[in-house]
Amino acid sequence: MTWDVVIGCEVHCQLATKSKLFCSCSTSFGAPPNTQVCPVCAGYPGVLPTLNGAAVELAIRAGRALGCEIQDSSTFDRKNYFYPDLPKGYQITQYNRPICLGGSLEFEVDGQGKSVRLTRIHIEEDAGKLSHGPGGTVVDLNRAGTPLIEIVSEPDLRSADEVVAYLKSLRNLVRWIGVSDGHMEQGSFRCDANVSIRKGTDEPFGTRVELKNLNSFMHVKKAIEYEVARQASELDSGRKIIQQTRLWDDRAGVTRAMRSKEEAMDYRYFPEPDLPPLQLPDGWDSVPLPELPAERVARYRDQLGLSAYDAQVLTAEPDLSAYFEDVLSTGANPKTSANWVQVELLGRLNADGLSATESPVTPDALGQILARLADKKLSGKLAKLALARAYEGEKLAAIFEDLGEQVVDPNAIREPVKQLIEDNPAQVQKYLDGNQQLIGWFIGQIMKTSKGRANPQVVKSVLTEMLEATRE
Amino acid sequence: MTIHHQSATQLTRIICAGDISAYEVTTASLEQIQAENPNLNAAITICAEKAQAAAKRLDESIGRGEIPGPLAGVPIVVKDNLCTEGVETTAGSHILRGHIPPFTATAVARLVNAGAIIVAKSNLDEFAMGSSTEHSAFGATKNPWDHTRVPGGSSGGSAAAVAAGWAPISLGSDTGGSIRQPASLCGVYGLKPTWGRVSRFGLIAFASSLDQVGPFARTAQDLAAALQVMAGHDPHDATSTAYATDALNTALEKDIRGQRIGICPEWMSGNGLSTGVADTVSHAIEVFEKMGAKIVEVTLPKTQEALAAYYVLAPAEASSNLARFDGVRFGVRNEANTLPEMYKSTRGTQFGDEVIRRILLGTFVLSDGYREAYYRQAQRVRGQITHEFESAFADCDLIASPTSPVIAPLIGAQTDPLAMYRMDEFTIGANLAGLPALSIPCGYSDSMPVGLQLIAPKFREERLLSIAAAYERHAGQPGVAS
Amino acid sequence: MPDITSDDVHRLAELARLTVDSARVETLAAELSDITEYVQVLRSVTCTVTPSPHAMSSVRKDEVNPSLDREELLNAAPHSDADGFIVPRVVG
Repeated sequence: MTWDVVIGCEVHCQLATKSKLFCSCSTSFGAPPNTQVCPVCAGYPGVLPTLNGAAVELAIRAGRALGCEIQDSSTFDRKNYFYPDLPKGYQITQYNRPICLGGSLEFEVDGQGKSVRLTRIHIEEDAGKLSHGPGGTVVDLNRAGTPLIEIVSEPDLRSADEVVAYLKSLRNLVRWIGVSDGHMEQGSFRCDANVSIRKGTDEPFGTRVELKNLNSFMHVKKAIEYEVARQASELDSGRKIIQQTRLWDDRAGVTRAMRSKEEAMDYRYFPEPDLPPLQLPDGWDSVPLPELPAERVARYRDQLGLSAYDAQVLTAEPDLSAYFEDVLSTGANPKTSANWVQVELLGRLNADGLSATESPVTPDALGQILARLADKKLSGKLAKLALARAYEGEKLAAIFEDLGEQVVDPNAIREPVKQLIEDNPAQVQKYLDGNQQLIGWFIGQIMKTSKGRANPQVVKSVLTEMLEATRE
Repeated sequence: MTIHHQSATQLTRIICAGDISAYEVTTASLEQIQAENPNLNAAITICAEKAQAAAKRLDESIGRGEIPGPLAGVPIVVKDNLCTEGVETTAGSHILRGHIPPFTATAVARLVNAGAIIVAKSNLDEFAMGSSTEHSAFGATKNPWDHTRVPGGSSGGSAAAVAAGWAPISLGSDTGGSIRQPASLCGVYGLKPTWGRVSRFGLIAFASSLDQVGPFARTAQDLAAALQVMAGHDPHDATSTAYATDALNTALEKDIRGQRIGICPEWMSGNGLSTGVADTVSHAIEVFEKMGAKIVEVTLPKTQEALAAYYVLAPAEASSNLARFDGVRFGVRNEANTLPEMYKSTRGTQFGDEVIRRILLGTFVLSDGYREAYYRQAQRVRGQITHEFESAFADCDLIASPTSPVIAPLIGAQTDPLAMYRMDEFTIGANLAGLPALSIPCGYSDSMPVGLQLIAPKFREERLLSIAAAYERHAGQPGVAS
Repeated sequence: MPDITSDDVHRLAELARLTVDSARVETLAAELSDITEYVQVLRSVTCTVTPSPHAMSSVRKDEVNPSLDREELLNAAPHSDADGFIVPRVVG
C-alpha cells in the first residue's frame, strides 16, 4: 500500500555575527581548537551572559523575510542537561516566548508552487565540538555560544524532494538577506527532520521519528527516503513505530536509533534569570528588507519577460543573482543577459567550481561584451570568443582591439567576394548549376579571410547578389 | 595595632593626609587577621603579599601626588564566592579548591579601583547555601562575640571580619538574608541593595534572580561609601541598572522626621521569634518614633508563604547554576572510566551535604510532572508577594522588622534543615521582591547582638541609610566585638 | 502530593549527575519530603497579579574581544592536552 508521508523540519542556522551570542569571542570558522573561548563561553563560575544585539537584528530580519509575527517581547530560558560540549550544563534558548511566531515559506518543487507554514523562530546558543580518540574525548569550545536561530516548520512537507526543495529555498533566503552564510559543510545550516507516515491524508499523524545528522541535501533525501521505507515496512508487518531519535549513517545508508538514554530527557526548562526579557529595539522594522527571491522571480517573469525557469535559476543563489543584477545594470538586454549568464558563464564557473563572485569575468565586462553584441560590433561568435578570452584572464580592451569591429558595410565586403569568385570558377559553376548549399562554403571562406569580422548575414547577401550577377 | 579599627572614611582621610601609610594600615589589619584567624576561621585565604604590594603601590602614587580614590588604603574582606583575579576563589567548596579566576568581580574591582585593599577572602556556607557558615568545606566560622556560637550565614566570614575589626568594610552576597542575618548576629551593618543595583558579574551564582552583592560596615557612612562605589550599570551584567546614586550622598545627614515606618504585627511576634529579640527591636523602633518617625501598621506577605516560595525557587535556580561544576574545565575532578561516572563521582563527593540537598530539591521542583505545582506556582506567589510589598509602600516609606528571629545559635545546634531555613523568614521577602534591605545593630539580648531590618522600595537605599545614620547619632557606632 | 521516596532520590540524583551515599538516601528522602510538605502552603495562595520582570533588556555591540590564552584555559582544567579538555571517552 502507499503511505502518506508527513515531515516537519527544524533548521539550525548560524547567524552571521562577528562575535558569539553571549560573549565577545570570535565566531570565525577554522581557528585552532579552544582559541576562541573566554570565561563566559567556558561557563566559568561567576560569569553572566550579555546578549549580542546583532544576533537579535538578524533573527528579526529572518522573521520578517519569512512573514513571521515579530514579538514585541520575548524571553530566554535554560534547557538543562549534562554533556561535555555544553559548558554551563544548560543551553540558553527561547523556549516559552520565542522572538518570531508563524510565517511561511513559498517555493517550487518540480515547477509546482508549495507553501510551508512555520511554527516559530527562536534564538539560541550552539554547543562545542567533541572529537573521540582512544585516550578519551576531546572538547573544543570554539563553537560553544555561537548564535543560532532555529526555524521550526509545521508538518507540511510530504516527500523527501519537498524537504530538499524547502531547505534549498530556505538556505537561499537566509544567505540572500545576510542572516547566515549557510555553509552546510561548516555546520552553519543544519537540519533535523521529523518523519511520520499515515494511511491517508484524513488520518491523524502517525508516530514521528526525529532524524539527525543530515549534513547535506543528499543526506536529507536519502535519509528520509530510507526512513519512510523503514516505517512503511514496520507498519506493513504489523509492528508499531517507536517515537525516537535516529541518526543517518551515510556509509551504511541506514538510519539508526540513537543509543537509548538511561533516563528520558527531562530538560527542566525555566526562565533565564540572568537575561531580562528582550524588548524589540527601536526602529527594528525601519530598515527595508532587500528584494526577496520570490519577489525577484516575479519581477523577472512579469517585467523582464524571462521564462519561469530562467527566473528560478537566476535567483536560486544570492551570488549568482547579484551577478545577474549587476549585468542588468550595465543596460544589457535581460533575455540576452539571462541566456549568456546561464549558457556561457555558468557552465564555465560550475566546471571550475567557482561562485559567481569569483567569476574571472566581472558583470561589467560581460555587460560590455553584450553591448558590443547589441551594437553589432561583435558577431555572436566573436562575442563568445571575447568572453572565453576574458574568462582566461585577458584584458577586455586588448581583446576588443584584437577582434576589431564587425564589418557590416556591404561595400567593404565586395572586394574580397569578387576575388573569391574569380579564384574559384569551378565552385561558382557548381553553385550556378543548382548546388545552393555551396553558399555556406563561400561564406566560410569570406569569414576566414576577414578573421571572423565580417557579418555573416551581410556576407551572405553580398555573395548571393554577386554570384547571381555572374550568370549573365 | 588598632589603627585599622577606625572607619573607612576616617582611614582614607588620614592616609591621604599623610598621617599614616596605607602600608601601615594594611599591615595592622593583616597582623590581626593572622593572629585571630586560626581561632575565628573567618578567612579562607589571607592575601598578605598581594595586599602589602597594593598598599605600597598606593602609597607611592599618593607620594607622586596622584589623586587617590574615595576608599584609598581601606582594608576590605571579600566573601570567597566573589571572583578575584589571581587569588583562589572557592565559594567554600571542595569542588573549587585551587580555582584561580582570570577576572575580578565587578563589585570588588570597583572597590579596588577606589583604593580599597583586599586583605582576605572570607569563609561562607558552601556556595552561600546556609545561615550559619558551618556548611563550609573549610570548617565553621565562629562568632567574634562568643566563639561557641555561629556568626550566621552564609556571609558569616565577612560579618565576623568586620565585627572583629579586621577591616572596616567587607563584602557579602545575599540570596535570602545571607548579608543581613550574619550582620544581625555579629552586630554590624549589612546591606542588601536592590536587585540590579550592584553588578553580579563575578559573583558565583547561587540563585541568580535573588542574589545581590552588598557591604558590611560598622558605620552608616562606610556603608554608604561602599555602596556608592559599587553601584551602577555593568556591561557584563545585563540585569544591572544605571539608577542614580546621588541621593546616597545626602542621605546620612537627612532628618528622619515624618518618615513613615511600617510595622506588621505578624512580623513582630509569634512562631520562632525570641522575646529578647522582639523586645530589643521594639525598643529601637520606639527610638525611631522619638526621633520623629511615624510608625504605621501595614500588611505584609505571610512569612511562611515567602519562605515556601523561596525554598522552591532558590534551589531550582541553584540546581541549574551548579551544573557547570562538572570536573571538565576547572576545579576538581574525580577520575572515572565513563563520563557519567566521572560526573556523578565528582559532584557527589566534592559538593557538601547541604549543596546536594538543594540541588536535588531544585531538580525535583523543575522536573517533568512537578514543575507546574512547584516551580511555576512559586513564581506566581513571588509575583503576589512583590505586589503585596508594593501595596504596603503606599502607606509607608520603609518597613521595619527583626532581621533574625533569634540571636546567634550555638555551633552545631542546628541539625534540622527546615528549622535552619526558618531563620530566614524575615529576610527572604526582600529577595523575592528585589527590594533593598538593611540590618542595623540595635542592641543586645543575652549579651549577643540583635539586628533590626529595614526594607525600602526599589532603589531607595537612601531611606535605609538615613534611618541608620540617625539611629547611629542616637545610639552611637557599633563597637568592635570584644 | 506524594512524599519523596528513596527511588525518587535516586532518580533526581541521576538527573543531577551526582552520586548519593546509599546510607544517606533515606535521610535525604525524609528531609526532602519535609521540605516539599512545608512548601505545600503555596498551593493555597491565590495569585491575582502577573509577575513583571525586574529589569529591561540591554544588548551588546557585535564586537570581538580577545579570548583567553589557550594554555591558561586548558591548564585550569583537571585533564587536558594541548588542544582541548579531555573527558572519558563518550560513545558516539
